[in-house]
Amino acid sequence: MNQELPSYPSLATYDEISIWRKALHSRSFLIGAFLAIVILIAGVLSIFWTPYAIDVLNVANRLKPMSSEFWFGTDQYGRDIFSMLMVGARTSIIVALIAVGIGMLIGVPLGLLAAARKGLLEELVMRTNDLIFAFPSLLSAVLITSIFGPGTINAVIAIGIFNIPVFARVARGGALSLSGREFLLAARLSGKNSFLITLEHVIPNIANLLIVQATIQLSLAILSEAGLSYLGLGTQPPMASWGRMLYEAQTMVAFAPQLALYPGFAIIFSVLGFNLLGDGLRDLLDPKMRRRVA
Amino acid sequence: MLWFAFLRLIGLLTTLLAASLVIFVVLEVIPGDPAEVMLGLNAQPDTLAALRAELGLNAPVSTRYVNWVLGMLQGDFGISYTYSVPVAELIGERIQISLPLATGALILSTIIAIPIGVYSARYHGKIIDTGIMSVAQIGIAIPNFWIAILLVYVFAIVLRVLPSGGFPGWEVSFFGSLQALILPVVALALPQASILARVMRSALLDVLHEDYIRTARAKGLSNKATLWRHGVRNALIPVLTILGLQFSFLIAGTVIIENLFYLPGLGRLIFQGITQRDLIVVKSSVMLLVALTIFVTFLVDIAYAAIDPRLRRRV
Repeated sequence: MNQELPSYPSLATYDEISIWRKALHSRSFLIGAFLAIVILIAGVLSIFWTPYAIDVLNVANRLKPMSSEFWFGTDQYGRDIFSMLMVGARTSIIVALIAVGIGMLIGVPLGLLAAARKGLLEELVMRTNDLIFAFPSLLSAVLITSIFGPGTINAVIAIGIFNIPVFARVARGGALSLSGREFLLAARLSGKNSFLITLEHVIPNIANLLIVQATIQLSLAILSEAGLSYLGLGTQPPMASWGRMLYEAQTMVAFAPQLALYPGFAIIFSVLGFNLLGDGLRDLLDPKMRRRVA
Repeated sequence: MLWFAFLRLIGLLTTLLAASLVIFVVLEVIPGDPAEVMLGLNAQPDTLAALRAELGLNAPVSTRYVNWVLGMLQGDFGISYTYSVPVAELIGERIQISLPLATGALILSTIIAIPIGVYSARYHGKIIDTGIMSVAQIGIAIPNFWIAILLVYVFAIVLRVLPSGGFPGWEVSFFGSLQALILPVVALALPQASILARVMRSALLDVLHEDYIRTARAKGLSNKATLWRHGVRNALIPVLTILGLQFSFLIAGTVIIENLFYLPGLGRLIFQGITQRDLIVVKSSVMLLVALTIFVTFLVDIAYAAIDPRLRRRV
């Protein structure tokens, strides 16, 4: 381990080649990246092509076992499970990316503002954060989606809201840890205002923290989306979603337990993938940062 | 310390007040008139108006908010629109399922996680550590409702040793009720245990580098005694924080798990309340759960400060 690295190194100060070399030796990063890429490819590919259409019910083909015709078999409505898993990957990734995007776009500026301005504004931002944290996130997501109507968009909003305080907290913490550092003072001396300093010096220096956090939030968002869809509050048919597939498989579990396995494995693979990717990135980008699970 | 506790208490009260306001406002904008839902589509306008007056729906919003909060403070949570019984009574009934469920899961996950975390830290870097942590990594990724479905398949359908759902009631059959909670508790506990085991391990690894561990070893304490008396005890502080956070996860988890196992608990009450537009039930039970979460966080903060005096300055 290189002990000379600063505690919040920026992407720019890194020797890019050595990062890539280390990446090739990091098991977490490699497995995580592999799983994430597989899910990503399946999701993107499903926009253009799936082995079968998933909105056509074909009772003649119901509950077919695994075969060369239907790779993972078919469900009780005769839909091809492999095709549904592909579309489910698309749903999960879209929901997770937008929800985490909402959290970052709103949370990061709020956190940076709180760190830069201090005083009453900081107090307000942090107390609002605490307030959102006080609501068990899944419970509130259930409330929001059932009030404003079940569906993908409302699920995205419900999950996104709970990402805001997470990113606000990380951004503020990162920015505060930089305060008093020489390069910030130098920027101040050169006549830059707070906004410019934040934009040009603080954000690049906390980018690593944010990237790692985003990866972890992606996996949490995938789990939340699955939970909401399982309760019938997320993605609606005919669109496929892993949570919804599990819900439908549950009624059939006595006769066709295999139906519950595939969507479960899909959820586990993708969540595991993003978690490992986050762990790997954390180790690669910031060796001094201790491993934390929460 | 007292001053810290006092400031925290003020914070607790403001958060509670703000939370009640948020819940009230969110449920105000909900589409659908409770009176209409109760009377059905063919209701006469005058009966509708009479019911609205009876439910107090005609009063201005601010009055209704104040009445709701004041009522709750006196233990009056309102009357359920659909069940026509006091909400406090409903909650009292349902919490007899949710509370054992959540605490059972919390206890089980702690019992599983702490020895595993300690063991893994002790054999840090060995194959057994890597193996345990890989399993934990996968455990974190598993949704609890998926474990639940698998447990139902194995223990209720194939082995037929445990019920797949439903709840007989504590008075009817104590043993049967206990049995009905086993699978839900396990399903809730396993993913939480994976998280907790990792926290326990990393907290212990942090502590084991401290000087006082070397001192303890130097004064002749055995490896085992050092590990448990000086290591684990100090490492429990971050574990406690995570336990507090997990309570909130478990509360939310009960919504899904209670639905899956047809357990008439608080989570299911809320879920049904939303679909039946029984808003007073939803409002009051959500408020209760949020208040519980805020209170647990408060307790953890206080406990944390009591253990580590350095934290008292950061309010």
